[in-house]
Amino acid sequence: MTRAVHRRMLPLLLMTSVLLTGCWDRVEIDQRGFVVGVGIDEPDKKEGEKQGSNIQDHDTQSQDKQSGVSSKQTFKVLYQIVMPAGLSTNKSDGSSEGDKAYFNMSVEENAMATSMAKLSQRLSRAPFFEHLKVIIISESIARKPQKFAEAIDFFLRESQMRRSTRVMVTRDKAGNILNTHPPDQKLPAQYLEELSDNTKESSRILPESRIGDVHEFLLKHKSFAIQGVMNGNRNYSTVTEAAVFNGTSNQMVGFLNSKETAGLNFMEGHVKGGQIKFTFEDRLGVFSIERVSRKLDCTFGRDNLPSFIFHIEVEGSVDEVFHAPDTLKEPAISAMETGVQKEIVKLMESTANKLQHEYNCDVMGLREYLFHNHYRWFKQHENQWEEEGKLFSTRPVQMDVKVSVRRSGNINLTED
Amino acid sequence: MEHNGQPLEQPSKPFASVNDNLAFIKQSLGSPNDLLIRTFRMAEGEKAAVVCIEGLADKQVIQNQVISQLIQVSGSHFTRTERTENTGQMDDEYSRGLEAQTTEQLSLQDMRRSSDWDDIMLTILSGDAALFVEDMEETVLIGSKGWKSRAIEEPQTESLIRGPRDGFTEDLRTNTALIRRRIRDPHLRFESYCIGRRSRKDVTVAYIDGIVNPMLVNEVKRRISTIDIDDPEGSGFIEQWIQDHYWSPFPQILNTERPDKVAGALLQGRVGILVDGTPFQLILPITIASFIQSPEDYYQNWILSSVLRLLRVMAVFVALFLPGMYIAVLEYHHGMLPSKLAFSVAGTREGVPFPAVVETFLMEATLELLREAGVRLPKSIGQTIGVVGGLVIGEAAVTAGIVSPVMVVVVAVTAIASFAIPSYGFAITIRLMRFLIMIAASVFGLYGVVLAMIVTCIHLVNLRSFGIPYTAPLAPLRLSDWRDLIYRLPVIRLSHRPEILETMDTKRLTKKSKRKGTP
Repeated sequence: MTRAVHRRMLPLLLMTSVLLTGCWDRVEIDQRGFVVGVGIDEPDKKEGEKQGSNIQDHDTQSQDKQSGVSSKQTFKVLYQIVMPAGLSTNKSDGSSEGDKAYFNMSVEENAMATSMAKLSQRLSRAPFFEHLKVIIISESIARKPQKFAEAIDFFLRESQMRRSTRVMVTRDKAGNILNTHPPDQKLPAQYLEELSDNTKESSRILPESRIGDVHEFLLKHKSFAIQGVMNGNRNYSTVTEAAVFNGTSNQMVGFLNSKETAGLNFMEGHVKGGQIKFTFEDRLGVFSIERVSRKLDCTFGRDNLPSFIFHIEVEGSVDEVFHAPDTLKEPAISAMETGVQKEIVKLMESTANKLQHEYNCDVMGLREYLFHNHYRWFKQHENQWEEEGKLFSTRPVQMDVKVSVRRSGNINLTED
Repeated sequence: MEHNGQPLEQPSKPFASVNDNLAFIKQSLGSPNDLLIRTFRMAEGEKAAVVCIEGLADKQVIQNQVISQLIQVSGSHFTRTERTENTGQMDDEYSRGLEAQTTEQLSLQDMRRSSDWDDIMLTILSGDAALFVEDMEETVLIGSKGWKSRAIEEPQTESLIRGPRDGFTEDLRTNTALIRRRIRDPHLRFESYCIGRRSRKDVTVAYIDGIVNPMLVNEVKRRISTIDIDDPEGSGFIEQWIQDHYWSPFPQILNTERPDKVAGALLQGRVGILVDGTPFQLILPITIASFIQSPEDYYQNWILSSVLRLLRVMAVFVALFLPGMYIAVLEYHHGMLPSKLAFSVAGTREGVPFPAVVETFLMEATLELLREAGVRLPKSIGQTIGVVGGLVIGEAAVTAGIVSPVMVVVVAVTAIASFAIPSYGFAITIRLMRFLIMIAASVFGLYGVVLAMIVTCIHLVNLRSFGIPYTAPLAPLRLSDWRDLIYRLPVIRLSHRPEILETMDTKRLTKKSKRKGTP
């Protein structure tokens, strides 16, 4: 070939290389199966197909009895997949009322990636995880040693995964949680995600537990708490629990109920709003939190061991008082302030008590504080903190709460 | 003297005999029916003739100011007898006397004498009249241009809310007058060129001496003098002939219908080229920022115009990238959309038979088709095309399930954004580039969009307009020129002409505070 022909061929070659190599991972957006929620349960013992590492799905229930060893490791993974057509609001035909915007499909496997592979065998649309909102893990999985980390490994490692996916633990079946949503929300996963953000409305919701943060905690061997979700009924769930994980074994040790969660929020300084019910002079009142500042201090005693004190300052307004005296008068205000203050101290003490003596998990940030402010001491006693010596559970923790009522409401008296 | 139908050689000078002259003109023009010849005898008896082209020349002027004057007036001090005494020879003195007498008698302002046949012919063909007098050496050329021309109207392609309503017309004289009316500077220069082997069009280079960089003017003159073509086809051929990079889709010379735009450019130190026969006049050199600037920016408050310019910059980017981004996001990067948007887009695309690429190309091509059709149609039907295109096709395509509603939104926004670009020529380039970016996006996704962007940028920084870098105050950084770039500072701060133009006179205003001493 002559030079001229070469020169003429060059653009052609370039074009072919572009056109042949380009477009290979082009997927239409309507060909994606958007997975928005994942629920991880233990497989049901009685029914449902159960198989080992065998990917081939024979859909028979006869063979599952033999694979005893593998069935012990198996997860039952529930995928929530969006049906976009069900979401669109302006449907011309009247049948849109009954349209579901999602469907759940459960797969039993002993690894997440293979469960996803099995899912894609069943779906015409390839599962797509970039819009994954929540991962719900049932208590039974989280309580087993290492199981928790195994369960979320895939959701951290796979390249589609986002580190802002929420992780929650439930006492219930994860599958049940992913079926509840109020009538105004069409996607349970989205509902849960938005629900878990409501920290401004309630002091009993932990700050959202992103999978990236959880990963960090696991690597640091730090005890941590993540949101626990409870199934109320078909129409709603609540996220007012906290699941406490032990930092050394990375397994769940128990739940904090909603009041204890509020106490934990106060200790960590995560409270952004919410109400506190208090009593003063046999009257019931509700205090609404507006601003909270938290400071942790520690003093070393003669035995060279620290004792802690939480300084909490709470500001807010009185939302509701029954049979109140004039709420503009000084004695009434200070009485209410002490009422609220006692209530908060009670919340925090019950939390501290449970964490120190029942769970022995330092979720409230004492270890962090020592690590940051008394590193040399911390290095010497690191191993005795939660383990062996159990320093954590014996350290005295004091609560110093100051409450100021900024507003007593629009009126001073309801009835005269 | 009769010439017996023999073809005449072109003489260097007019003949002494009027009849010879007329015969020569008739012969060289092929006796067209629009050639008007009026022969008459002057008061003294000399034979004379006026030649002009009907339709181009103002017959009233010729009749009232030339013929009637020459016929009536008498009292010449030169007589024919004097001449005969001088041995029948047509001597210089006599000829000069005759000329002086003739020209004196004409109460005309626009009059000159010429003895060059080329000049005479061109003058006749461009609408003036030629007066031949028996035995006179030179021909009197009378400015009698007076053809039917369009009145000054509002520019069709560049209308403004606030600003002058006059636009250029096809008539060069009117156009120069429009500029002259805005700049009464004695240094305003109009230099004439005659371009076109056959069309012999008048082209005027306008600049302000003392502001403009003389090297720029010389270069413009040099490039114009190289033009050798039958007809420069309006200003388009001139623009394409003298621009620096003819391979580039980006216009390197600005064309405008607005005299205020040209006047403003001249005062900045640019050069204008006015071409006869077209309302589109040229401004050069320009930078890419010129396309997002509109004269309105200077008529309005500086905050408003800064925001509007920013809006136009955004319009450029939207018109350029939106369909490409739509393709890239829908075909490759589904995770980049917010979840709710992703689901709703996926929902609306449910049941659409085409991939997003095909859908986008289909709709964009339809849009371009509609726009092209709208240009061709008469104005009254043009309205219909808008309705048919916008409503019927868009709506019908969605209900028929051929395209998704989101696509219609994308196409509509793109179209509106491209209409917001002040320069039509630049908007066309953007339209073209949009398709390139769509191809890049459909092959490589966002990566392709970025690649296309980089290629475009490399191309842009390599462009020059008459030696001025195309991306000027940005790419060779001239911070002082940023005062009038994307934002426009208050008038008092625009104290200097663009630095990149390297003008002779750099300052254009003096603040009052600096002249405190003067009363």
